[in-house]
Amino acid sequence: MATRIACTFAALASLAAVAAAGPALAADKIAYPVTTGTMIMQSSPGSGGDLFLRAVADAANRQIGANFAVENVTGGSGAKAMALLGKSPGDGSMLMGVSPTYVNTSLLSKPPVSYTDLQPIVRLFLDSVIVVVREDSPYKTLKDVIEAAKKAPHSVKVAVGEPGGLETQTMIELMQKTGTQLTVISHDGGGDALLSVLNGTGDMAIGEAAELKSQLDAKQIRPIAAYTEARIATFPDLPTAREQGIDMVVQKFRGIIGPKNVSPEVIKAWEAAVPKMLNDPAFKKWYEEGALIPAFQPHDQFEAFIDNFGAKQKQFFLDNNMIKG
Amino acid sequence: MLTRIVTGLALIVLSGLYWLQADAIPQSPMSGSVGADGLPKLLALVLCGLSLIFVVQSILVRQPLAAPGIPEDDQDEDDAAFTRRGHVLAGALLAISIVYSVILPYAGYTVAMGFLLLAVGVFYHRRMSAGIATFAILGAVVFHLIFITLLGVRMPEGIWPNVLAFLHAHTA
Amino acid sequence: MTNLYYIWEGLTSLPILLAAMAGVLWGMCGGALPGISTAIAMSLVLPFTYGMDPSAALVLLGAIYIGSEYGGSIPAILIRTPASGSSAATVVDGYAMQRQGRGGEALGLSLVGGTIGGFVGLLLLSLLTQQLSKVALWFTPPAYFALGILGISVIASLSERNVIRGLIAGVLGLMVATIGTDPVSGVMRFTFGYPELMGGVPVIIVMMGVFAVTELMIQARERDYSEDVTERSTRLKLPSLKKLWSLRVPQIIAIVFGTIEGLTPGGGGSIAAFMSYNEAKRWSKEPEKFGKGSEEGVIAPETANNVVALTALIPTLSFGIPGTATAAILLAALLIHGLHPGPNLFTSHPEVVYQLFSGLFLANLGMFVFGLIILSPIIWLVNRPRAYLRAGIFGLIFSGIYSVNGSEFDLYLVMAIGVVGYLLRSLRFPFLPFVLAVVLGYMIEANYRRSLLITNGDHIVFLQNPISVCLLALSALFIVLPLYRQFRQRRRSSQAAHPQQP
Repeated sequence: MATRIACTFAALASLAAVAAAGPALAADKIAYPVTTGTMIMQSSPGSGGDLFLRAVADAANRQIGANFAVENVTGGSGAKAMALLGKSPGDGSMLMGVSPTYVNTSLLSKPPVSYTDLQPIVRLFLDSVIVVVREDSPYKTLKDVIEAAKKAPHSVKVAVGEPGGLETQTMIELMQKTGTQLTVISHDGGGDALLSVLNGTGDMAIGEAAELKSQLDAKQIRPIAAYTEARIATFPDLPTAREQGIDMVVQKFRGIIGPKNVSPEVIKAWEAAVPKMLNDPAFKKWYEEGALIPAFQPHDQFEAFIDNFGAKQKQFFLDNNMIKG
Repeated sequence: MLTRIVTGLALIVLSGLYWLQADAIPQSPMSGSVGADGLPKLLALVLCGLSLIFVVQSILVRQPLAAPGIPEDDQDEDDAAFTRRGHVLAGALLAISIVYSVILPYAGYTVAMGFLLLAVGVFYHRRMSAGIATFAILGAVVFHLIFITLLGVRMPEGIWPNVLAFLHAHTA
Repeated sequence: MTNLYYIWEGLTSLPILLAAMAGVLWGMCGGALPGISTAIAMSLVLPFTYGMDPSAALVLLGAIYIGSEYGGSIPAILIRTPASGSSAATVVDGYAMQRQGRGGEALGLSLVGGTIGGFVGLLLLSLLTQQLSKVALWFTPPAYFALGILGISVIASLSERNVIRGLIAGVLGLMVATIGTDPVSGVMRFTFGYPELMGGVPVIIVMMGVFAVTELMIQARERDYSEDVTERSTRLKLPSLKKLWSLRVPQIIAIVFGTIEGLTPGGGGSIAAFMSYNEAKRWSKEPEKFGKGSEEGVIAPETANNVVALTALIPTLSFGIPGTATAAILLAALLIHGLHPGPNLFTSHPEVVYQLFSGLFLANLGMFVFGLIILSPIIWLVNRPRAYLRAGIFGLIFSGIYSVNGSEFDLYLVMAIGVVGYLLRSLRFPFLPFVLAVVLGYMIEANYRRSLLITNGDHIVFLQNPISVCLLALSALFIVLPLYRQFRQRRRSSQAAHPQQP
């Protein structure tokens, strides 16, 4: 059977011979301690996080004098990937692409390597988290939703992705800030939550703009607010929650981390590379299409950001009795 | 009959332990009207009830034609396996699997696999033979080729990289 | 008209033909390895698709999906090892047939059933995508809940002679299903601090434990047989047309459940396979044969698997929402090529969509042909002396389980589940209710609680949805009827002085 598989593989390789392209311009690249690096991703191939990291590795290969490849290390909601990263040497040969999940997993379970045992390197993006309703919905703004909820508590149903995730937290914060009662229905993922809005189970959904793109394009759903600092480039007419009088911003970050003892050269290389990557036309086209907001933070700021974020999450989980102090 | 009563009692103990664990689930305001512990507690109660019925049934319902040697239910084709000797042999195989899992992180995938193939082979063959040994070595190599080389699974490497580094440092 | 041209172009294009054949062969081989999920098989070739033409790339990945759904049934039938959750239902009767020396027949049924399922699924995909995508929207939480209840309502009839034992096994299965993150609030339940359990006990681990590990433990005594009983398998034997016609009911059932599960995200192959198996038994003229080598019990889950593989593409293409984890990779391939699946895909890139359909057609044909070719050597492989075969199965299972998450924890987990399965079987508890409860438990609980959120705790929600009303009524009927029949039979037999015993 092994030879059979090998044959298939050879056939595939020849099929895709065109794929191996991309000449290396070694001269003006940023120096890096090792020649090859593995970037690990806790989610499975094809997931949002995986596509993000593959695009980052691709763009980094054009700026940094090393070759990065992505490897999926799934299991334990990121605990497995964190454990592997924690054991790796600090020479930049192993890094990890992260989103808020790695902090939440560290807080919700007791992984052998937690987020505090790892070193944030750079932050690249914030996701554009938006609120959408069905095209024929009576709600035009977030204010309409809040007024409806004030009139009849629990009458507005919000569809969110995974239970206990950042979207749920956002909705709870909204309820606390406005003194209203919404019904939050969690699903098995962002796609399910979107279907829930399409079939009328949920009155609105909160999610990432990239996930909702095709339904937005087809005019089946309509955005009513963005939980971002400023308006999103791809949705210039969409007012932010702040503009609508609700002072909330969702910090769904995407960044790169390394083991605790990661060397200063690695950090310096990435700090130099990311601003260049963000200006790379191919990379720019990719992240603008996905409505990712470039939000570069160098090591010091990112570390402080993660500390702050972790403390906030911990407080939230404690307040809502999801973990014990 | 004794087996049935013991089983029923063990299940009642299990339902009690499960209830205690369910009771310890944190009460989150997001759990909804049923709660995260709703179904678990219901399951614990149902299991307890069913197990009680099971025990009572075992005591009350006399087995018709319970001649010695004939199991209480209809003869099953599996029954031959569940003799004391069958349990011991099953336990032996389980022990081989546990040894494999324990040595895997230290011996590395390929060596541990060789051990597993050899141990199971000898278990069934009831003696060591050159054929089994060859099979174990070749098998470990084939498994290495399929899972590590071809499929790229990150199997445990064991202590070998460290040993090599150590030897390298001390010979250089 | 232009669409027909695109289809013709796809059927005659060499890259698409090559992609379809390579994909289906790779999928069959990868799918036959336990623990190597379709997702892994697909992701290994994903990097190769970057440079390919978008249609060929999609055909390659789609063909892997098709091949893998079939490949999984090979070890399920021959060595009682389900390679994926969706092939687990095949184990029950497929392996029973293998033990009776009818393994070649079972493989033939699964190959033909899978091919038929694939073609029907493709027909639905290419002709009815727009209409069926609306069906996906009918399934709201109350409907999912009712579907789960319908599935679990067969527990009593699966329990064979002892209903109490069956119910206990079912409750134990539901208990296993409660491990992990709570579907509504996100708190941890029964994880004991192990991050490996946050996502619940994976269905594939349960299946490999209950089916494969348990069986290996039971077969340990075969060491005591001095003569080397052959593993009783002949050549691959395809079913005759007459036989296929006589098996039409389970196939229709499989197509219905396969389509429903393919359309609704989060369902997935294992639920479709088990539901089809259950319903095939319920509607069968010979339900007593199930579990003892029933042909219906093999063809139903096998057809369902391949229907799911194709119909799962309907929500993927028309909503951009993957119906299974595997469809998510296909989605990624679309995105990489700058194609945005969703309601506009059919108008903006018809050539890609229709060439994908023709490629999948070729892949289905290829699956049938390759099936005929590769099955014979595989049958030869399992006819080796027992010591070698058993050792090889151990190696395969323990490599595969580690590959699922790259976790040593899973090795201990599968052994624990195996011991539970061994205890269940040695104490004569039926294990199917346990497995069924593990597969359906999450769907039932999560949707029950989501439904109640909609009405703030009022159970009227289950009566407001027509699908839920119908399915719940049907389940109630299915639970009450056999009990009533049993009751009447008992009365009759107690009235007779000497009941006839076969």
